[in-house]
Amino acid sequence: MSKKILVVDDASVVRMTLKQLFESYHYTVIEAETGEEAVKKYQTFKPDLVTMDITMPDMDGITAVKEILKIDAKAKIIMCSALGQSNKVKAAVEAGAKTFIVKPLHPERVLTTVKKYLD
Amino acid sequence: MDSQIVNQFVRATSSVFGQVNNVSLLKTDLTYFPDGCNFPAPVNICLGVTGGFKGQFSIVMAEAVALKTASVALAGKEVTVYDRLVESAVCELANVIAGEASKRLLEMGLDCDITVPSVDRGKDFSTSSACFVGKFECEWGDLQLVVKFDSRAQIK
Repeated sequence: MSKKILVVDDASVVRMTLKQLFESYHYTVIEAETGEEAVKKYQTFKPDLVTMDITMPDMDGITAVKEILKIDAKAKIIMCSALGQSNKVKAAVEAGAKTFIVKPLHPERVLTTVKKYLD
Repeated sequence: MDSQIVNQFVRATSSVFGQVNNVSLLKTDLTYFPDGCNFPAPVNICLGVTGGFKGQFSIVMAEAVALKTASVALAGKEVTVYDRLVESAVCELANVIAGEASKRLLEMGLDCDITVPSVDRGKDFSTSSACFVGKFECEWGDLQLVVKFDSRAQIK
């Protein structure tokens, strides 16, 4: 059975790009547009990995990371954000994210990182 | 101080646009308008900035630039119609530019957050507040950057 990745980003173009990338490597992709939707979909689908934006409407990515980790302390979450300031990276990692990829997203880098945590 | 802040946005715009779209962006002008300004804005992406610098940051572009940006985001697929996906692509571009500018501002001691972008299409950009307008050109068309201050930035 293919591994499931939950892609969380309010930008549909980012979700579409990551979905196409992951599906071409036979991962199953679930999408969420907000942090709140991400928490609900995590509970429902129990994905193997999550890619998470930071700035989103309703619930931001760092809060969503904390909420997901309350559901599953072993959740693997990779932050993918344009906010690459050192304090944001630190906040995300302190919240429990495994690592941080600063946008613009380069497909090879995203794939290498995802594979590192999935395999 | 204000010009140092604006320069971070100018540099972030040139650097990110080139990196994302693989097209050179040439800055042709940077002007301060103490009483605001008004100009046509085919596609206007606006983001709020909070924290050490409070204000607004807008990227105004020709529709052709928006379509080409979306095309690059969609791995080269030709895009001829302005739709929600194009809007999402230009918002994401502005978001990445703002992120890069925030990173540079933090290095100056200004810790900033960026709000979710909003887009206006086919309207004029109009403000009565003081602002900086940077003009850029690329092979796809024109692009303008507007940085508006809500208050004086505070250096920590």
